[in-house]
Amino acid sequence: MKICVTGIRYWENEMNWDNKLPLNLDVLPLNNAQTETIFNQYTVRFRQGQINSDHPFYPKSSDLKVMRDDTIASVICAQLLMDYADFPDTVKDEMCLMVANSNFIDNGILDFNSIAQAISEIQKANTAEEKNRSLGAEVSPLIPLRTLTNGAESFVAQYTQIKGESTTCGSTCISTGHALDDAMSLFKLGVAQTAMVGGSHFANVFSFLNHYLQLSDCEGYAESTSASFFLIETASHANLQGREVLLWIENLLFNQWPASTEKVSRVYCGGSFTQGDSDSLLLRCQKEFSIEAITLFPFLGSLGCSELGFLLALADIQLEQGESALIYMEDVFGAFLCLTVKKP
Amino acid sequence: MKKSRVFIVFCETVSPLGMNGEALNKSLIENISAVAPMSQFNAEGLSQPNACEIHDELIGFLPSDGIDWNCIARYDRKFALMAAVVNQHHQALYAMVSSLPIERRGISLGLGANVFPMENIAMEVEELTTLGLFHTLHRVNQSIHPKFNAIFNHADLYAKYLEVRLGEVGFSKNILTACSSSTQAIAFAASKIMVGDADLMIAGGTDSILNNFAYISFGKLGVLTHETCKPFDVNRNGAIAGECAGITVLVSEEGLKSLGLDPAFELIGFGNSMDAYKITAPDPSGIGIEKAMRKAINMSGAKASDIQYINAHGTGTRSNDEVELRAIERVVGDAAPSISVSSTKDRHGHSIAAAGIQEFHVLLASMKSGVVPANLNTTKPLQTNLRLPVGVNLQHEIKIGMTNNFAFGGVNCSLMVKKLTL
Repeated sequence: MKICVTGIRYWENEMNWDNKLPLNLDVLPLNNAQTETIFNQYTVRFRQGQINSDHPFYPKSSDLKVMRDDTIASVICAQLLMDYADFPDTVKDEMCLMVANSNFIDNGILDFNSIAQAISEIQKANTAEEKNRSLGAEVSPLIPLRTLTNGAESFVAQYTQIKGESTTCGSTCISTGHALDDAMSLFKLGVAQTAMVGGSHFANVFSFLNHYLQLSDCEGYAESTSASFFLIETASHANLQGREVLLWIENLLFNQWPASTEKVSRVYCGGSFTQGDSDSLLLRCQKEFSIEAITLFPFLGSLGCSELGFLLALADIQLEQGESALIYMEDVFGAFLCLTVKKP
Repeated sequence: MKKSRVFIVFCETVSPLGMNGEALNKSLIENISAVAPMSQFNAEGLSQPNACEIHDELIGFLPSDGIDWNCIARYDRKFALMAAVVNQHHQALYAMVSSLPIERRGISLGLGANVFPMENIAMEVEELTTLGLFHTLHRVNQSIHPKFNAIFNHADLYAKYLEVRLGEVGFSKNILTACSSSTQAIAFAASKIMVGDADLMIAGGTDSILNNFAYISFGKLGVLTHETCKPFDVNRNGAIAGECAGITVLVSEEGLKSLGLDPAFELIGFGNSMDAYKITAPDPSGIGIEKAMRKAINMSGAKASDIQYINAHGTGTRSNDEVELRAIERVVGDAAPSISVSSTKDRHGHSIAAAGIQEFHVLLASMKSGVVPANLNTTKPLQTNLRLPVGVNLQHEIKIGMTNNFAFGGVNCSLMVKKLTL
């Protein structure tokens, strides 16, 4: 079965919604990534989301209280993509929505001052009742909703009216590959013919804490709140809809190298959180594939679960007609995916 | 494409109803309910005093292999529960997993949100400042193996543990869809076998919201009952919090040959859908729930009227039960009077991300014993022409069964299982 990518939308703070990644990545501005020192010892760059609330697809105010910035970005990205696709309701009723996500704790919840306050109350309490009462005063009923792991998936479905097979995969950057893989399995089973696949990433201290023990060195740690979504369809469905094929999906492997990379014109790699890891990843890819590899890390930092969509977008922009690319992504635990795509 | 068949060769849980399948089966037959006053923390002053807990000591199930698993278990009960399942059945699981090549085996787990262990940190923190908190977290984490970060753990912790104990796998993934997490983990594990990408999948999940932080926030959200859980009762007023961990092993026909096993059950279908309604409530029309069930039935090749028992999601909340019941009625149509429906959450509680593996295990136990668990606390059932056992268990053969789970945000999943004649 032939499966193709027919649309991609992505957002990171440095890019306006309508901008595409440039052919020359050097023009991507880095100056807005503020460096900060956390816990008196780690120099990091967090690029937080600053999303224009005037955007026509900006979520309703009643939903914002349980949305993180990455969820807002996801909702806008997904609506832009569906606006482009212009699917009838009959297609939306059956299409898949496969989302990947990694960080479910936002700055409002991981507020160390509030945590210190709550702990202080626990320590001061003389009885269990006092402790529960003081904790109750600190704990918001919105927490289960704000930390809902399928929050982005559910809000995207709500705003796009996608109602078919759906899930959220987590938690490392290659989870978007698993989301893609699940959608492709459903295509093969004949359950669906089109899917929106994507991910979002929330960059904050919690994300840093999540990763710092897995990293050999935290120097040059950088990440961006971001989101990306792409449409995949069976060839027959895309043909029926008269849609332009951006990329053919040739092969998707987990923890296995493709049989041959001889015909690959480019290698894109991702999954780094620090400059050092990014440099060594590039060297490893170069050695493995004998082609100079390209990474977005120096320009945008880690994009977590949204990185695969960005790399597909890069392949779409940079590949010439008939050329293939290998997208290699590795997570902090060393698991990896190899996705081969081809420009029609 | 012709899809490969998916056989269920193993399913075990640790749950408030028992530490293994045998205990679970006995509890179901004897109508034992695990609902009792909360003991894992002092719930004095809270309006929801009851829970379904696992009272067995879990520390003894951890291996001694140089990694401080105890430290992880102390901060993360979900991990301790999963370790208890693996340890009790290690020999059988290891034998199955190691019989197949690495690239043909995988892991698919359903998990919930991270829990910040507020009370543990309160006891350990040396200096109550931002930096002091960080140093405490750093110290605790550094005392463990760096790949197994206990406090700010990745969801990957659990799959990594399974690989340490049972052997490396070709791929592992986590499904994070709240109350339908482990149901979907089983469904997507099955899909990998159906399309020929794997011969053996370890699927399941683990979750516990029995810590004061989670318990208080769920309580304030209004989903927990202040008395008892009464699924499908006119006067139902909420769920009982629970906890569970479990593993099922699914294999292909090729896998079955390699293992030399005679399976008792086959997973014949699954269906997922989105309500696309709103984050806080299911679509009152129940169309999404209906669609998930219809998809599972279509995939199975069976008819709705072939189903003999549905283990419903049945949370005992105002928003779920009637919507689910009406959706089931529409799906089964005229066959309703011959189809038994019950929820067992009144016995084992709602284990959130692990609800799927908990109730999958209950379904298999019911199909094996021919005992349909009754809705225990229901006294005034919602009007329906479905067979809704109240108080007393039913006894009849279940050749084909279904289990449903639905999550906050409207993620619906149904699984269909067939009993095989040996």
